[in-house]
Amino acid sequence: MRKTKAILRAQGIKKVFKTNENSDFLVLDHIDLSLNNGEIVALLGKSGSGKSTLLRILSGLSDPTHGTVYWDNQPISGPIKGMSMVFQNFALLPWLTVLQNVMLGLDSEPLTEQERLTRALKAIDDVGMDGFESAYPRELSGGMCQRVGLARALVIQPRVILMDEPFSSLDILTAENLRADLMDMWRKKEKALEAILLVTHNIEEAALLADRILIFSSNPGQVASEIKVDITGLRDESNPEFRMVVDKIYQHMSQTQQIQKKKGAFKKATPINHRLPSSSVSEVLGILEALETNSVNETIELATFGEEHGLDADDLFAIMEVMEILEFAHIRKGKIKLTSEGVSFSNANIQMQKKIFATQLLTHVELAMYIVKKINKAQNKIIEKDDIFKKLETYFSEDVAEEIFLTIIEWGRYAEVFAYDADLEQLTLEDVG
Amino acid sequence: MNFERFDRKLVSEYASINCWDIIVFSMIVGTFFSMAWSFSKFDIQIIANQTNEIHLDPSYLPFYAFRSILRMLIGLMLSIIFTLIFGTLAAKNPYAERVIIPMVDILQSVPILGFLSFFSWGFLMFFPGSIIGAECAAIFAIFTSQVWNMTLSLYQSIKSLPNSYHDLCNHYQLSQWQKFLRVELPFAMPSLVMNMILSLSSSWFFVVASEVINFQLFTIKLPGIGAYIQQADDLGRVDAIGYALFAMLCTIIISNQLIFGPLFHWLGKFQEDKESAYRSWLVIIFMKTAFFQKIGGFLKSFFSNFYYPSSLPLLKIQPRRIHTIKKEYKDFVWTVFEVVTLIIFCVILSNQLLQYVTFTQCLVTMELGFYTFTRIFVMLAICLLIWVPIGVWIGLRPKVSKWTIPVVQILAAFPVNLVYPLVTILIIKYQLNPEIWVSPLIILGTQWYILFNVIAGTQNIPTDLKLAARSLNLSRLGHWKSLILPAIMPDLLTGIVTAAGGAWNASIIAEYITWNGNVIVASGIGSFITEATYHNAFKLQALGILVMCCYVLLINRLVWAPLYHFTTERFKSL
Repeated sequence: MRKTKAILRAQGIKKVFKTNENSDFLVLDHIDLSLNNGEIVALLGKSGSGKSTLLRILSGLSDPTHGTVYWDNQPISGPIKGMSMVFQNFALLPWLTVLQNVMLGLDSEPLTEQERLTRALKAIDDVGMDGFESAYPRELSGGMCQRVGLARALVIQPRVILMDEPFSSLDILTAENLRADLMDMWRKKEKALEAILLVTHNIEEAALLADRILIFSSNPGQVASEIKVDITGLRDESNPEFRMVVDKIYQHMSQTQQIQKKKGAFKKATPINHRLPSSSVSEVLGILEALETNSVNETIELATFGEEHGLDADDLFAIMEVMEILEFAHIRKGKIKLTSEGVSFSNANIQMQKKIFATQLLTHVELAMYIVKKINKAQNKIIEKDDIFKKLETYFSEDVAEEIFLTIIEWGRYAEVFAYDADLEQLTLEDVG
Repeated sequence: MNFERFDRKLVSEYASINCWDIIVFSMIVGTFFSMAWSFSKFDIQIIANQTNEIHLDPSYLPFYAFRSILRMLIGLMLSIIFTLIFGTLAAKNPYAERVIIPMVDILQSVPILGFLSFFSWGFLMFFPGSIIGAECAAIFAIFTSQVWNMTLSLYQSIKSLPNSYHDLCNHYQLSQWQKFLRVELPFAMPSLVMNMILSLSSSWFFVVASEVINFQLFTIKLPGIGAYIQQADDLGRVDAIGYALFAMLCTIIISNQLIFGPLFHWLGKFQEDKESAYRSWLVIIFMKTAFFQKIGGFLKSFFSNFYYPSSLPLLKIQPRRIHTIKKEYKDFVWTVFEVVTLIIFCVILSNQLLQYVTFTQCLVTMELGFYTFTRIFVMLAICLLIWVPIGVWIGLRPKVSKWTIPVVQILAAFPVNLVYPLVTILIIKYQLNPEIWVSPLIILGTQWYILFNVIAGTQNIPTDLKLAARSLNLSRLGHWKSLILPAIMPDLLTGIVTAAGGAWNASIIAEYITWNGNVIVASGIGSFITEATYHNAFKLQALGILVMCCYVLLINRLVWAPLYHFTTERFKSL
């Protein structure tokens, strides 16, 4: 076996969730990755792509179905001392003060009360929260809370910190500030800290922080490509090197989507077993409005567009996928181009838009066709939610199936191709009420 | 201080009856029948003159009130201990869960008062010739009136602990014990304390009722406000009743300040938003005292010894990680066990029943149960007609509700069995038909829950909805139909369920009242149980309780639970 200096290494990870008795949902497949000494690695992908599941496996919180995680070349079987985690929603306990929350990280260590206190105070100092020791989390802003979360991660003097979208629930300015502070701490390097693994769906964030970016594709989650970030100067909008990296990420991400589309081999329509992105119609309309184009020939740079409108890559790519599924647009190499249907949809009035949407829905989304066919076949033209839900559950986990169901219901209602009564949980063709 | 939107588990999770209900139900009933049988064999010697005399001099009242409060607090302590053990066990161990939860669910619908004399026999046997046995029985009755909703609340909170907290504990490798103390218990605390307060306030009824325990040959009266009133009834002293009512009112108000105040204050620590935190003057005084600060510091360092794993190796047990091990084998054994127990208990139960009671007796008891059932539901309907409009009227006026809510809280806590004698006087004086005029007594104490919940529900209607309704210029009927009724429905239902549950218990006292030598009886399952108690007819008593349990349980499962699920599903977005 090749000798590596990897601290944390995952080999052939596969994760399967049981959806019901006889079918499985593949969340992660063939994942190999390593985290080396002295680097920050960002795991970039859409939400629902299994990034967080992977992070839980890497941290030893859950077991992979296949494959192994190695820590210092030793396979792990549970949480590791020396590895810390920063949670997306902070996971601070509201009934403990800042100091007590940080000390919680040390609860399982064989230390004296005095040592615990000294180390906790030091960690609070390091994240700049001194003076807040006796405050309760409810008295702090989101940014402050995440600093406490960081202090709790640092207090055990970890070699690796895993971060699960640590800045995604903060506002833009706070997140920026916290990122800068994190980088300062990282550069000082006075601690045992050797590497950071960051899960994110924010492209800018990945480009700002990471030395290496792993782009994640979904269904099943896989590492689709890897981008090395070698920016010599300041990582800043004004730096052309930085801009190039961001563009590259957009390209890679849109390519990922294309690869998937080909692999799924749905030339005509998106099959039922494809996970529909949960974007609403109004988001699609909003994007079309914002694109400000009425021409089939014009192409628009996704990176620029996303930044201009302050869109999360996560949302942006989900909406783009909808546009592609419905054949309103094509995305190639980080550029978007409307189709003729897309243009006429964009220009139509409300009633026409619904008609166009309905046509596209019934020619390009197999799930919609399946529902309409089912309703037409039914004797009284009524079918139960379960009829559809059971079908979805053969491919997806219950949560995902619910998500997809809600999405298709919204699309169907908008297009007026079928109606849904949430009280009776029944689907019909026309909404009489 | 307010009880807004407390999370009381009144209605079981399941809308139907499963195998476990039957097992547990037959276990409980079987136990009672066996107890009835064994008690009837014993001839308990109790020296009649040892039952202490209750003095009607008002100067004794503070002492009696103190004794009543003490009993209530001991009951609460026991409830807390029971909750911590069994609530936690049920939440952590899936096998314990399958037994404990249906058991608690059924026990909470069992009429406690019917069992009072049962338990008294048992406790008297343990402490022959002493009053301690009776004290224990009273405390036990209070305990059973407080404990079930607390246990369910703890269980449900621990079960619903957010995943991120589980991850946090696993990640930092906290032991089971540390996880319980630092994470699970504090997380469960708000709902647990709310239930505790609710239990305390509803247990006054039982505190008062359990102070007088009737047997065929003698009556035990424990020093307390309830016994004082009973004594006054027996002697026909209206003035003494007046004193007792006043003393009760003072007791409730004082104990609200001394017990609820600090509890609410402490609760603030666990609440997310600081604004609504209640500050008790009592706690603030205590916290500022140097002496108590020292004691607090000492307790803190004392308990931290138990917290860290180095001190006690036993507490080092790590939480199990979720592995996907196949449990089929274990499940199979468990199912076999279930079926075998079910068969055994069915055999025992049918044996017991056939041996002691005849089929006709069963039918008669069921008929009596139906009378009480009718009484309760007619009264509920009348209460709704009265209190829903009044409650909505109050709820829509913040100024009025500000002072009505505390008053209603005190009224709800007030043990209404104290005023039964006064109604009796009226019935005797005007020669009224007890079958009809006793009925209001059944609902008298618990009707406040309806009013209270309607007020709370109305207050919680979002302002923009009220404004929208006003801008639409709805007619009065339309306004009620499209806004108010749907909006208060979940709260209203909670109120109705609480009121109906309490009414069954109240029927045991209300359908059989004594006053100055007169006995007023209304035919129903409640008076049937009480009469059986007076005549030491344990088997009939057990039968009566069994029938009442069946009624309560069936109504809970077949009426309230589905309704509850429907309304919470339908109106949850409000």
